Amino acid sequence: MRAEHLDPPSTADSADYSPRLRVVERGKVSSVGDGVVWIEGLPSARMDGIVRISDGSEALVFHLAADRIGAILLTTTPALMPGCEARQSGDILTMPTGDGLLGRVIDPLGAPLDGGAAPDCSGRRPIEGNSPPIVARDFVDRPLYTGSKIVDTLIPIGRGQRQLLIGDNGTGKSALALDAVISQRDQNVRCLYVMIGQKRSSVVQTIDTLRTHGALSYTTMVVAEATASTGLRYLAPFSGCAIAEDWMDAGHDALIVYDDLTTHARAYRELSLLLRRPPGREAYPADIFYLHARLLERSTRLSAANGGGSMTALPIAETEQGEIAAYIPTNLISITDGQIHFDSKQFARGVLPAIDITRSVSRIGGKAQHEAIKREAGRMKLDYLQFLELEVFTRFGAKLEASMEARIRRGRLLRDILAQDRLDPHSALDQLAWLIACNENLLDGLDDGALDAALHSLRNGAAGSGLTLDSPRTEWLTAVRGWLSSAADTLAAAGPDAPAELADRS
Amino acid sequence: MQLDWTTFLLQIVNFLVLVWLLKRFLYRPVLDVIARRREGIEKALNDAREAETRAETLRQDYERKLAEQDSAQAADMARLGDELAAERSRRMAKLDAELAAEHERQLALVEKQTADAGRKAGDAARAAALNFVSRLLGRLSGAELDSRLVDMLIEDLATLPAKQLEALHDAAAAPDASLQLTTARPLSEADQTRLLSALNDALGRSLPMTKQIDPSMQSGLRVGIGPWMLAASLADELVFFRSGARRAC
Repeated sequence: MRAEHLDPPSTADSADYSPRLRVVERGKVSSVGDGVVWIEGLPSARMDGIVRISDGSEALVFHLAADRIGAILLTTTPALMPGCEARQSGDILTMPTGDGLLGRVIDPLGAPLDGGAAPDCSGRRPIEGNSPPIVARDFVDRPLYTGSKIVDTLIPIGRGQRQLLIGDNGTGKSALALDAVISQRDQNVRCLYVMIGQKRSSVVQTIDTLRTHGALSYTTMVVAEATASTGLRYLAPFSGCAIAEDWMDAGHDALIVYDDLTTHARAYRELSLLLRRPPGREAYPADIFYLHARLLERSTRLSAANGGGSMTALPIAETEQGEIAAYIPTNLISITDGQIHFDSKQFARGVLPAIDITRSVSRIGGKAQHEAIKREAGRMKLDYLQFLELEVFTRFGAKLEASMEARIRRGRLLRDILAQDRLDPHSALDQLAWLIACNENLLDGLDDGALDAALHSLRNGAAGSGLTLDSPRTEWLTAVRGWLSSAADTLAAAGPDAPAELADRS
Repeated sequence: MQLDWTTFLLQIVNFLVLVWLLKRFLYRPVLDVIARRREGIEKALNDAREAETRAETLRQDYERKLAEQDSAQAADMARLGDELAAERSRRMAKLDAELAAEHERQLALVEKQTADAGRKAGDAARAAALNFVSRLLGRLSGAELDSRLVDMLIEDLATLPAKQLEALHDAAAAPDASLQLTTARPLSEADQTRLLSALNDALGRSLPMTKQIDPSMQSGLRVGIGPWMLAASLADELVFFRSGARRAC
């Protein structure tokens, strides 16, 4: 039998409305525990519908069985116990949306966690939604700068792309994601940072970092910390996605970081097992791929006819012992448009950021790079990969021919240039400056101190030069030579230890 | 004067020797010098003629190259003009495309904002209407309205679709079946009697009934039978005007 739901009527329904007796379903709580509730009855309950329980608790329908339903508890009261009456609300779970959320820290239900008042939101949006159809999408052809030299030059990311950050615990994945968020200052990109199952200390540290760098004003944080219920940890990325999707639909560019989806998959596995879903590989439910596919597929760039907004996703996946062929990592690799792999061995050697270029790829490639950076970066990745292969031979002390020696020298120089501290994002102008200097061999033969001075000079020069990425290369080259010359002068004035090489290049 | 022939002859010989010496050591070198100078002059003249010829050739080459340069320059200028025109038209086309895309984008955004504004206005109107109706009926609700809602339940119970009645029958047939009556305020005895009688008729059996008071219903009643609930209350009807949002912003 089809029961009535107390749904809000359409305009037509309102016009035809007449008061009458309504026969509605009524369920009964049969058991409660571990953040889930089993309800007998409610045969017409639908997935993701909200059930209201007589004690005031609310639950999200998550599992449908023949004689009962399993639901994730969203809010609970001490009075919740077996026997309580449950009714379908006819509602689905929605999130507050809008610019009023910028600078706020909220939970996956939209409640403030920063001690402030309830967010002043302009609307609400279902946390689950269909991804935009193909015809509503456009090509990803505009760059999103992360501030990382390696990423912006060798593994470029475009607005609307989904780029996976993958690696062992403690290799710098979150640091790169934070760099990316910090880099969006003055880029007209709204950011959303979703933290799933993280320690409270990590959450506080992240908030402090964003606040210190002035990034919190254009960022919203959705937090389901480790102590939050399993249901909230499961909902967090979808809640964040709904907020970012609203910005995208409003024609804005959005960046969303999911930190991290491995924990999210575990939360989903926990819920599925609690609700007696049949376990599959590694006890994950059969639809674990769909879980992340439907989430990440909502990130895209919309066509002009649909507002032209974009949502760039940086999901983070954690590996164990560098095993990227594990279940969840391979799922995510196959869903996303590329991955940035962090290598623990590189991290241990002190090569930072510990990005393993051999295993990293951006399937958008240079399509989203600015023409000038694309031209300068050119074959750099290929050359660098060849250098990494050649460098193996140097360990044997073998005598190499001059051309190989030159390539190895250049590769080592490039590795030194690409070294970067965490939370130190570089602008696109700075990237172009060092690329030109490197391609013109203006940095060859410099020792560490001189190279640092030269790169510092290039960075400062590019920042206040008035040049843009569209400025002619000749202007850039003149400016780069000038900046390097001033660096040489500074070094020369510093003392006799200053390397003479820079002076010779001006 | 006596002519000495010997002397005369010797003088002649002397003269001849002098003439030979002059020719040998003076006249011939002079002639050689003259010849060399003539040769030099001839050579200089020949060189000058050759130089003149070369200069003429060079001049002709220069003029030819100049002409070629001029024609090449003209061709380059024409090509540059064509390229500039092509680049200009390409950039203009690109600019037009960008402007068209931006125009389309702005139209889409305005349309979306208008739709959002309409939706929000509708939500606000619905919320205001809900608030108004809730307060008005809340003030007007009482035993009389409860009684009318009981009447409505009894009337509609008799006209329920067969499937719904069958489901209610099944629920009533359960071993531990009972009726749970929830009202905003205690019903009058007469209403309770009418209600129980109608329910027993509809369900085909007499079931025990428990009673509960829930003021949040404002007015009316709910009757629970197993997994079903018969709702005829003010609060349940007002839900129809509520937005789909789970929480109000």
